[in-house]
Amino acid sequence: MNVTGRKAVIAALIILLAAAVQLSRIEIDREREIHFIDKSPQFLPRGETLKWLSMGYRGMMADLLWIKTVLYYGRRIMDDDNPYFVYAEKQGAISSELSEIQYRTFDTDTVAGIDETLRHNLFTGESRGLVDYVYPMLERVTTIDPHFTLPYFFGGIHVLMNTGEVDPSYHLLEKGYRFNPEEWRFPFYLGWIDWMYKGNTRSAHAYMLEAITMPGCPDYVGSLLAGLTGSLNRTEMTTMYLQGLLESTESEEIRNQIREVLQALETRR
Amino acid sequence: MRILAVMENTFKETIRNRILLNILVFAIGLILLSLVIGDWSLGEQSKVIKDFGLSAMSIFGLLIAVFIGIRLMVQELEGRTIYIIASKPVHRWEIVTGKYLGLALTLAVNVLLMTAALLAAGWLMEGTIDTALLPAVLLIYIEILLIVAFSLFFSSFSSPVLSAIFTLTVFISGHLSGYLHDFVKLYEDRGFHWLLKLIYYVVPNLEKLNIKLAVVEHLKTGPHAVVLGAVYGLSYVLLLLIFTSLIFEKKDLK
Repeated sequence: MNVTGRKAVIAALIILLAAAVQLSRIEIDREREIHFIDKSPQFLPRGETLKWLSMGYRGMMADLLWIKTVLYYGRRIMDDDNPYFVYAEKQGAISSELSEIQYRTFDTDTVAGIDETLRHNLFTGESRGLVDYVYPMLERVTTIDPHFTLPYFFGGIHVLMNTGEVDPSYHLLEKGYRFNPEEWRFPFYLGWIDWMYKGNTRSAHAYMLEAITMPGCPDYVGSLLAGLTGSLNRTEMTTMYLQGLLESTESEEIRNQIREVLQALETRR
Repeated sequence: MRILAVMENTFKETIRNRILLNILVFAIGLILLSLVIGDWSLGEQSKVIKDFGLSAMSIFGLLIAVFIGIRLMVQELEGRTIYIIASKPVHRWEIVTGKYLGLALTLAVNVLLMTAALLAAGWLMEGTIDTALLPAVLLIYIEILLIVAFSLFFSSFSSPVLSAIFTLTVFISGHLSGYLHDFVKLYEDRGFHWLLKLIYYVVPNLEKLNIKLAVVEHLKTGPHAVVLGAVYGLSYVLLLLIFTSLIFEKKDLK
């Protein structure tokens, strides 16, 4: 083969390989869209193993998994890019002309000719997709770096509001409280879930009481506690408890907070 | 003085190394990239920048230690330039120490540059310079020095490839030896505990030099964590330098 012929073969080979790379990439993307990626945390090792594998780079590993979770979450709640939506649209099951509001509100009659799994994922995608992916990921992030507080609040409050999944949210906040016992937001949010989602006012009351004794707890928590206590008719008991706490607390900041709550309770009587 | 001369020569030689320059550019690039990555973290930019920055310093420092540390003596032997040095009135232990100190100085310059990049990235994000990171930087530097000492030690009696494998093994097991200790304590004796204990006490516990997470998240580390970590790491370095010098003294350079 002469030099020109060899150059032509090499050029053809390069074009062929570049095409193969691109076509296989497109095919992989399509495969992934069809099978979705919600189950991918199942293939990740447990948090304890990841902690072990991170070898001194725990902060960075937790950050990477956290960012992956946030990006996934963002994709699920941004309708135009939701893979369920995109796939259903490709299947011709829904119209690409649907507006964001329509997408959020359309019912099962809008979708035709798609299988049950997709139908389920499409309509509960914001819920089930998040639960299957986000909570296991947050569990791992918080195991690797238990003092990274934002993932607890993100899963415990923000994702809860989108999914209504009380148990994993509550579990996440309990774990956060265990590792960060000086952070008032943990007992506050645990109390809030007890109150608003679980209807367990007794536990809510106990958590709120813990929250107001912690540094940095804002005034409104005290007012909430006063309201909660009023509904329980346990004002006397709380007042006595707080007075005891006031006498045994040295921190002037916490004492002031307790005084303010006592004052709010007094006003409610 | 003779040690200083070897040190100066090694510093000049290693600072011009292209691998070093490439690694440094990558490290500073990663630190600056963390500014972008941090933007995706829902308000945790500052944490991400610090985590990435400190990790980049440690990872790239390790790469420098492995790539350059191992070549330090090997290239002198392969290029036969060692004969020129050995023919001068200088002890072999002085050559080992001078070479080590020269690379340590090069690494100090690198760490300083990476620290400057990290603090600048933090300043861009927060408007303040977080000096609380500096104890972690100091311990990262000591960890790198320890890894260099290991690479020099291994290269004194084995091939460059094997030395790289041994050094990486020390790095990995050094970060995992804490788990080994827990394992020994957790499970009752199964007949091989003496071996695990031996490994635990021989391999350095590199987690003793790791306070990255603690400084980023403002956690309590113990009043003397930095001083004790420094003493621990530097004692290990001295021990390894003595062993390396002893091996090098016995080495047949013919």
